[in-house]
Amino acid sequence: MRAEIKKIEEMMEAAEYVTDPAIAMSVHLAMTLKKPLLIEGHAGVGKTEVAKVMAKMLETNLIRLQCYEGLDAAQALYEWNYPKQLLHIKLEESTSHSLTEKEAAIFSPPFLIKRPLLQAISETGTPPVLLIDEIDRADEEFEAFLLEVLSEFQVTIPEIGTIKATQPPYVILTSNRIRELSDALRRRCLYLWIDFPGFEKEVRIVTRKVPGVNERLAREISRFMETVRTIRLAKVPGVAETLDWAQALTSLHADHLDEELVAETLGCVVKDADDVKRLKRELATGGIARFVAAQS
Amino acid sequence: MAVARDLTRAMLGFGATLRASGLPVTTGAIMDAVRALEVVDLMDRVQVYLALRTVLVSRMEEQPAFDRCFEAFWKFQADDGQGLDGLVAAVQPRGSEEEPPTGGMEGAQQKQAQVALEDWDEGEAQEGEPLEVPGQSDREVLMEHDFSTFPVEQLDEVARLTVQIAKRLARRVSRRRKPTRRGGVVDLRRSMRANLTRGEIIELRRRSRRRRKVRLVLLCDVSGSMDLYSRFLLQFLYALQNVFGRVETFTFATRLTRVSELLRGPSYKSALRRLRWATGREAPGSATRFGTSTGNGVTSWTGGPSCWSSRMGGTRGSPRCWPRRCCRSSDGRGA
Repeated sequence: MRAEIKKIEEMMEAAEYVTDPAIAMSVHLAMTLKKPLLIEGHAGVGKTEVAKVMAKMLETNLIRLQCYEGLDAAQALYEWNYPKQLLHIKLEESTSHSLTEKEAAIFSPPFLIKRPLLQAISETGTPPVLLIDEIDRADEEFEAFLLEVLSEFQVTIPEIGTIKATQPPYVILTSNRIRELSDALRRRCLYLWIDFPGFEKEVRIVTRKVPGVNERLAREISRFMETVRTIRLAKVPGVAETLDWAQALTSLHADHLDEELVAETLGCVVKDADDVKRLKRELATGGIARFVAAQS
Repeated sequence: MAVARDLTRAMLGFGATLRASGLPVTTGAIMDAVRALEVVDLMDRVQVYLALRTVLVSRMEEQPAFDRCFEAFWKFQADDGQGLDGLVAAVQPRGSEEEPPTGGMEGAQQKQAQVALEDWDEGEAQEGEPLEVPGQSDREVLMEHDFSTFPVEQLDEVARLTVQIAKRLARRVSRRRKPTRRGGVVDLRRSMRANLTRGEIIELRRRSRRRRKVRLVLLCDVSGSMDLYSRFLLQFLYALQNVFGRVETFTFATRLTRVSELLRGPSYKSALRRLRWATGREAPGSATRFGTSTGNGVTSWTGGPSCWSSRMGGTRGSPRCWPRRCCRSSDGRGA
């Protein structure tokens, strides 16, 4: 059985995702236990990427629901296509169909606009991966509504009836912890916390994702990022920033870090004016050596 | 079958340990854990640990407690080769000294040893060190925290939390709807009106929920009795002032001083300097004259923002509550 997890690890690596045992185990359990997986972690550590890689791995569709403040059930589940219905009524005016028939016609599946949740539930064939991204941005009411959908995997549309998933989708929820999620939602999910990667893992990510980066630069970048994350910043840079920076440095044909280069490209690492100032100050006092020196 | 039964029993025991440590583990979660153990390699401690963690932990803060429970409950018994009857036999362990699994489980793969299930004994568990799990959540603890005892290093955290609170306030949506071009629900009334002359409903009008604009007037008591809190309060006011566009801030002791402009700016330190300069003339620690100072405010500022809102601090004692949004708002109802 161990082989399955090993296989998942290999498949994730093949899909260009540098993984670790904890992530592979969570994905394995989410797939075998058929439970939603809640992934939390800092911004830019690759939470969303897990779902994308999972879809790639399983060769299935990825259905994404991006949450935001004010998102309601209609935008997540389904809507009737009003203009199309109106047009249909107009066209049907001259026909001899009875009122009941006309009504049945306009409230039938062709007039239904499927939003992500319904799309995931009604998909036939291989179950899709449903990514509910940044659930902490949605309102609490939406979260409560989601609970119902996630536990039953069925949706009742008054005019059509109940649609139940033949194959429940694999569900991945991500959260940046902007808002505390309810215990009820947490209880229904498996849980995975993705932390900033360790030094070795980050080196692997950089060498893997940025073609043309040399070993020394990758190690220096990772060490630099490791140190930067220990400084108190308004926005701590994630792996996404590391990759951007590595990409920028590679395109500048850099093969190692020096103070001037870092100062010029600092915008790739920190995205806040105060943070830039602070980091520049730290660089001026401690020098680049402090940042790229191996930590004991 | 014996294996399955004993696994279930062991898991129930483990669940009880976790519950005793304050983790909200439900029976459903235990059942999931048993199912999870069926699909991992029981001979691999790391895998068992990761599987149980994925199923039984539901927030990051619970992880240290879980780690301790895991260590206490599923002890290595490599040396004496003891195990529960019917469960996995001992395998030659490779790891030398056991160390508690860390959050990331970095390098933990090498730590391979057998999982020998120890018969869980309540007496023994109680002998060990008590698990440091707070009975209350952090938030609960903070709610009881007296603001005067906030250490300096936590002020950054206060600022961060205040901004978070303020942003949430600013993002609140109203129950009322406003017309929009796209999205939202169909506005029947406006659709009918728009299509009156056409004979048919051709054009649909829509509406969606509007954002509730927050207008605040903050009053801060800076008299002598509030000295202990003023550091915290000013930090709070500063954060609020810089998140919202329409905030008016006043400090009062013997008279009311408008400090909105002084608090605006990117640096808290320079805001403090400006404040000190502006309010320094007021006698420190003087008695509060609520009637005169707030009365002035009512008469001279009712023409400004129409919502009287929060009152920081109190007349006496510690201001433990977040600002109460009281009085009246523009539409004449409670804000």
